[in-house]
Amino acid sequence: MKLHLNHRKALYALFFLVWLTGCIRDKVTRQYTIQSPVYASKASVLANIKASTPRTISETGKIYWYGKWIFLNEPGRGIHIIDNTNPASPNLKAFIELPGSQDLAVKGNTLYADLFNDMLAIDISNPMQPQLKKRLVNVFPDRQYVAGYYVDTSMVIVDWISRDTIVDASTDIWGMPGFGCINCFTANAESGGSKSSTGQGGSMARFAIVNEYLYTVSEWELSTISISTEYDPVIINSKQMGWGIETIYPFRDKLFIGSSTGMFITDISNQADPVFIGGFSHARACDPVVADDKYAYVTLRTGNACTGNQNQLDIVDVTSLTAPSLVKTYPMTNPHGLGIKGDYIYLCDGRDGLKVLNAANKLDITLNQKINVPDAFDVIVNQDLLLLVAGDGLYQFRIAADGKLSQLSTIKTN
Amino acid sequence: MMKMISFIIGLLLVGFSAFSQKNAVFRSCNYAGIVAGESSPAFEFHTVNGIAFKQWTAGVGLGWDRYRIESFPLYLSLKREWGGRRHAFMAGIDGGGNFSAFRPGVYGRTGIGWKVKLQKLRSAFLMDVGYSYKQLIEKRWVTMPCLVPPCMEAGERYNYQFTSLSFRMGWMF
Repeated sequence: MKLHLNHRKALYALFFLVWLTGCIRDKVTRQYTIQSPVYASKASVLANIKASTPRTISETGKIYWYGKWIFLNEPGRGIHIIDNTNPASPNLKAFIELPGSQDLAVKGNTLYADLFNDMLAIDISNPMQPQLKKRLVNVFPDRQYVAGYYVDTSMVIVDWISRDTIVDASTDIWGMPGFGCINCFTANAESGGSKSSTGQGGSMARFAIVNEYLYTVSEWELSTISISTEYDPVIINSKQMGWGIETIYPFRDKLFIGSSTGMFITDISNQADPVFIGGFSHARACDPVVADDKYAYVTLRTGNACTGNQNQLDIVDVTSLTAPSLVKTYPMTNPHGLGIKGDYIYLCDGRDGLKVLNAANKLDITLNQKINVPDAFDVIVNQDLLLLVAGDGLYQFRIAADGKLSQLSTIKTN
Repeated sequence: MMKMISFIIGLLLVGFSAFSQKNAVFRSCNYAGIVAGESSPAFEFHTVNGIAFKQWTAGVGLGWDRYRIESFPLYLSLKREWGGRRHAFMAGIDGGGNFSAFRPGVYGRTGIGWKVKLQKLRSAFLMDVGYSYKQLIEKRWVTMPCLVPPCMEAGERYNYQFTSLSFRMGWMF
């Protein structure tokens, strides 16, 4: 039989399609970044603690406000020292290299900072020539693990080497990325942790100084450290608080401790011996907390290690410290640190920026102002000044009588 | 990407040159079909609207593809016909973007088909079989397992590429 020309074309095309059926496939690939740590001996790092000339900020971390100075942690790398004599024009003065540092506090001429699981007391009477005065060993035992790596006590991680990897995920039995892939991460181990402040720290701080005592929280315990002799901190005691401890906020003779399952209140009338007196439980989430005489303000958020699905501001009545009670919950976007001044709450709502909330009526909080900054992280309110850490830098604002903010300065990250 | 841009520009040129001809007419082809690949088959719906000139048709297509991950292809389409008054054999190629809840990917399809003209209705019944490719890019953030929090957040990029057979029937006017 003789095929018509068009029929022949159709047949060829059909053959072509049949041939293509050999290519039918559902292909799924997963691309992730493996980071491998670069180690150095802890002894050599401690022997070489020094200030370098000021450098641009590559990543913002916790903050501490002390007199005319601002100390800004660059997670995992060190601490920027900023001269804030003129808040409208802050000057980067020096950078102290401290690999593995996340938290800090300052009293007098002494900077207290962590170096993985150890705590250091550093003389900064001359910020350009910091001198290590004392090292307290294993104050933060949870920091022995960094992103799944166990760091030997004689070593520190000083850098990370990144390598992109692509694998076939077509047959991923769990359909879950990252399953069983403990080394797969893109962020530095220290990124996204809490940032901090006898000076003043932020609400995300893990260090707090009250008079002659420095209080620190690790993942599961509250440590009381005497700093009556600034250069010679001495651990007085450590108390188990349960897992998931995240932040610490001092107010008068109380410490408000944020954990992933609730807020704890400890009495420090006897400063050397904090006593747990009450708590407020909530669903599992990360929760910085600040407080005044009557109320505690707790933000719950999802993301990072914060499991759960709540993004909200809880106002808790702490008139009865032994039995705090919820007043009202307000939905938020992804709330992080916060500060209070009078009737106003200054709340870092992640990608939704900094929100100024009028909280005169706790049952009807209203939005007073919104500052659009990327990844608002934490604030410190100091009289009529406000210091804000955001993803793209360090901002300073003046607070007006109506609670509204006017920007004074910015130090941007590079 | 340059190939894709060249392809789209080529199709646009064909479309414009056809439109400038007196004999160019508007064409709308509307399909319902099934996409079958390694996973469970799924329905697809497409509408392609454009200009026909002589044996060529060029147009813009919009689809709803439910294979594995629901997506909406938006593409340029070029088709040629061979045949007589009642029946015609067709071959065509589509190319463009694939849009979904994730990031956009690439969409492409090549196929052959048969057209039966319905003179009274001034329309035609279409059926074709083709080979389609759709891609979706998903960015996921996951918290890595670790013994001691805070655990790391990891960014992962998933690249879904589905190649499958597509059987469609449609109506052209």
